[in-house]
Amino acid sequence: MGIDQARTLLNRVPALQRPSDLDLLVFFARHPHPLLSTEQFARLLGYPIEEIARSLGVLLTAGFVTRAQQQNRTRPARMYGFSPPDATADVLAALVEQASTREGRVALRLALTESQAAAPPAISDGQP
Amino acid sequence: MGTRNLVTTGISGLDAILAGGIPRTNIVLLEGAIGTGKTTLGLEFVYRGALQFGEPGIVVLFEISPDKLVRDAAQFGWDLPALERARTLKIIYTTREVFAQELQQADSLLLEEATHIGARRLFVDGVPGAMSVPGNRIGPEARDAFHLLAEGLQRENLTAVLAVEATALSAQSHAALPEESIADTVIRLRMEEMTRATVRSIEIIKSRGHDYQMGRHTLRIVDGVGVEVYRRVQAPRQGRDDMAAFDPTTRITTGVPGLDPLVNGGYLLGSTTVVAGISGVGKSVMGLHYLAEGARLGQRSLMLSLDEPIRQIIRNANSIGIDLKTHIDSGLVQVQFDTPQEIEIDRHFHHIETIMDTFKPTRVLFDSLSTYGSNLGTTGRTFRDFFHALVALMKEYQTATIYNHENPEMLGMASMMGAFHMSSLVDNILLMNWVEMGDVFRLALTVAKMRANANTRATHECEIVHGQGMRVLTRQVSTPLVYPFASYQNLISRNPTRRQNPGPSTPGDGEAR
Repeated sequence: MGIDQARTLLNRVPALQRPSDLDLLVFFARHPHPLLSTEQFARLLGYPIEEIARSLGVLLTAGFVTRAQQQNRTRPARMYGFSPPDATADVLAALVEQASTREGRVALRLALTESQAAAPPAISDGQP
Repeated sequence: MGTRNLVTTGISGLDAILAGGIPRTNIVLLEGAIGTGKTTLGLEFVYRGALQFGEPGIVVLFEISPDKLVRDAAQFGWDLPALERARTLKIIYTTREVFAQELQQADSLLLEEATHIGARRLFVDGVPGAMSVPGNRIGPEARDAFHLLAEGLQRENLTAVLAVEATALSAQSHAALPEESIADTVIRLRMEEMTRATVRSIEIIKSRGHDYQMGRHTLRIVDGVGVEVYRRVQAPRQGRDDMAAFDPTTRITTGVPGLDPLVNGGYLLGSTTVVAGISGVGKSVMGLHYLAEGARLGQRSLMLSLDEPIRQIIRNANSIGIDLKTHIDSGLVQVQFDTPQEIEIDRHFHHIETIMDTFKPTRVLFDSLSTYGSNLGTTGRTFRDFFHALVALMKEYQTATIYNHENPEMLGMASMMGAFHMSSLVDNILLMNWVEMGDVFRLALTVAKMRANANTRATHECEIVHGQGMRVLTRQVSTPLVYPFASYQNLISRNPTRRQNPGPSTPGDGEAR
């Protein structure tokens, strides 16, 4: 997969802006129902907590992932569900497939790094 | 008296050794070293529940990523994503720390999820580590943590299988895990070395609330199927050991011309017959006559061969004028060949049980017993227990069974069954011997034992003719040639010689003359 192909694929999923968004998406595809805290996501994926909190916000806002709501919960772990809407299911599947190869992942991350450098700073959903 | 509420695992062979299943809400500790099959067995427990018994389930993973589990399950033909889409299965990935916390809290998301999908079964892959959260690693704390986990699961009415990795379990013995006393059921999986082969085994260490079959049973993991458990051959089968050859009238003819009169018209139903002799003496030929005779009479016959493949047996039969293939095609004869190398005896025995149950033969031929012996060894109990189980099985189905047995002695026999020491289990023994006459080996047959039957124990000559098979020749001995014991000396010392002038015998007179 070349960088141009990566850009084309990412253009169809504009919600994904940074490499951490992509890595978290792939993680959810492989672990569709994780029960984890943001800190544990960060540890498993090798990103700062703030970065993962932001990426979680991106995927939740885009509707790729759901998070179980629980009132008065004192513990940080949450139950998530990977449930992309039908409209994006195919493109996300293609994205995950490409990101699961070494060349594909390198190309996609490069494309995201380029766009990240060109884009204004994003905002977290505020729930680390 | 209430009926027992058992959870059927659906795993092939496992429910049989669990006497129907696991008591509902039992906490099952599944112990074993790496590679013993814990994940496969635990996953199948949940999979079968969701697919076959309408019992949704949850799988909790710590190290294995769910997509790999789904991929590996597909190897067995299990479509986990389909069950997830049907909301009867949920695979949750978490950490041990979160899991330990979740199971101890009233507002557990994990248990909430279990309630949400109506889960009745739970499999947690890697539980002892779940107790190994910081400050909760060993001793009473680990035990308490497991106790809390068990309480949480019981509250939710879940039947849970908790896999625990215990490397020490690959050895013969191990120190008890603290969780074992709390768990209701403890199942131990092992890898056992057998010469240079390795086989998996499963043992129910304890199980509260019901009976189960103790001992190590064979466990296999089979592509396209999953886990298969084979009850150990030594385990008693209810009612089978009471079976006997109770029909004193029905005779199963041998098919060998001239032999039936020597065995009182044939073998009794339910009887066990051993035909012993060196290789090439005609045991298999006699067996083929037995099968052909069954087909002629419309009786079903089964031949189990460890020595020769089916096509070779058909060829051999053709050489003595028996069209075995036609009998096989007609459905009256079934021939099963199993390679003797590294035979898994529990599985092999289960296979025989299945054939007996479905085919229900009147005649059975094993060719040969000695091949089992050379693979299982004659010094331990395995072979004897296997043979005992075979005899009991054949009596249960009231078959007249022949076991060919290769006695290594070429001329004469010092014992009927060599190192096997099985004579007491056998009803009839036919000895086949070479007799050297001039420069020719001639074939002799002696009916050495016929339990509950008259028997002259006379030796008869036989012949095997190409294209025709075996026949027992008429014994041409004139009555005057049969002398009383008193006509001989050295009878007991195996070297009888006829006295020149027999007279009344007195102690020591043999020496004197």
